[in-house]
Amino acid sequence: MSTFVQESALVRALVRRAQACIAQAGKVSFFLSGGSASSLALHAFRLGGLIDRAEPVYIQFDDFNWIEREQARRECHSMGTTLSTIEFSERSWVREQGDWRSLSLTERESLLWSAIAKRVADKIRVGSTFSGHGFLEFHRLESSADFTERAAVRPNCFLQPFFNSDLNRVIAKDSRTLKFLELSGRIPFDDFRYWSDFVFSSQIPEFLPREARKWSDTLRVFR
Amino acid sequence: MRSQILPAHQEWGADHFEVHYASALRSPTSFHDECRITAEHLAREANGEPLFVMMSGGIDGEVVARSFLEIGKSFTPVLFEYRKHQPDDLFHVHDFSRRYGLKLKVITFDELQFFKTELPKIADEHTERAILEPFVAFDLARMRALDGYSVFGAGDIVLEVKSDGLIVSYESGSLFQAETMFRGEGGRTCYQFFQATAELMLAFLNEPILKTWIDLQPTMHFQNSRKFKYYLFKSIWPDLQPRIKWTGYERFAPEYLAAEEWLKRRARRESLPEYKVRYDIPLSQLLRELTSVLSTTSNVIQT
Repeated sequence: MSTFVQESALVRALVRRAQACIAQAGKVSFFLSGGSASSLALHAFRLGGLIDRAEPVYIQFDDFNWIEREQARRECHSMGTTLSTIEFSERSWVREQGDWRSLSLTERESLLWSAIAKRVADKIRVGSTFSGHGFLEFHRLESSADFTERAAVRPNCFLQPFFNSDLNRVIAKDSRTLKFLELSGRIPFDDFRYWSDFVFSSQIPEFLPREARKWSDTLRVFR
Repeated sequence: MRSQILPAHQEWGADHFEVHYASALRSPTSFHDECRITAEHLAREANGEPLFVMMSGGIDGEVVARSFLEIGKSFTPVLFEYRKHQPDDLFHVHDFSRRYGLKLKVITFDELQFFKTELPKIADEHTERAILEPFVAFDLARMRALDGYSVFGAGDIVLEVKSDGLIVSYESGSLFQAETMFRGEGGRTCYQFFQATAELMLAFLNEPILKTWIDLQPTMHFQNSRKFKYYLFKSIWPDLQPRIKWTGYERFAPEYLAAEEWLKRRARRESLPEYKVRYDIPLSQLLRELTSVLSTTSNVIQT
């Protein structure tokens, strides 16, 4: 019975978060990257009956990954919504930045995502833009209370993280998340983001687990 | 270290296709050690010929390359660059070669031209079993393109949950086909590195991470063990970056599917015997075969 309550808590928290996003702006756009986190956001809007108020946007880089784009397209199709694609040439953008070797990765990230968010704002005028960032990550931590939020390491002035503290707390207390923490002492699980798909797919049957963790768009640009 | 190369053999008839394995000759060591031992075996099997490791940008080929690196055996990593390639795949291969100071051999491959001219020729050359999937012809072409001994990172063991228990699934029985055809031509290759020895297969199944997957799957509702393979690889090679990788043919999927349809029509028209496309072996049966001559006290997985 307790497992059932915990599972329901995750779905309820996702719906609450989706409702809060819509309440803030009436209609939102959000980045669907083909990875798990933004996919979960899409499911949250669906579960909340708000799919027609959220416009999923795929940022297509020069070096985009066909698999990720296809994953995003298929998910949108299965939910009866359309994926908007906005091209962003990271090669041109990098050239325009000139010499940025003095900038830290965090500063580069901030510049990049601000530029991307601006591009989205130019094309889609639907209020706030959210993305799948902010998703919690564990780095060989000891307990569910001890997590960090990616939002803190990807600051930007336009995008809002779908995954906020309230939602992350619910994920952190999920029984399957706790199993991960229990096992991580014995088995070198190095990153919760491989495991989190098990948490989601166990409670949202429509959620499709990925083969592996998605390659970071930011790292793809800066490699 | 006693072990034997290529323990799998196939049996097929009009209405059946089966894969059987020879037993390990000793208890396996760790998966990491067995990767290196397998690399040593294969290097010996190459018998002085140039050694090529095929790298597609996926994680398995990279593990094969790391195994040869760790035993200090020189080899040439090979990348087939399709006209419509996946940039991420290329990045991973180039990045790996750069980091380890390897001279990468890049072979540009015009897949669209291949579909038009080479694929029909290969299909005509091999009528003992119909080629039903274009990747078989691709792999045969890749094997033929190299003058030496080529090693492919195929054959990784993926456990899946079925209603009647755990099985090892071959996504395609055709996995065996290109290798069989190439060896029939007198070519020298190891296509399925991860099934090259029974000891390596047992070592993989014996890893605590895989045992944990088996223990947890009834309550966690896992579909397959693939992500636990990543955990295992990361525990051995922390700098190895798991990545999403499908077949590599997605970028030219329409042409690929058209070629596949053409091959199927051809096989039906000419009534050619076919390889089974999908083949499952119960895990319990696989373990019985892999351990049949080991003593009962051997350190092998129990299910």
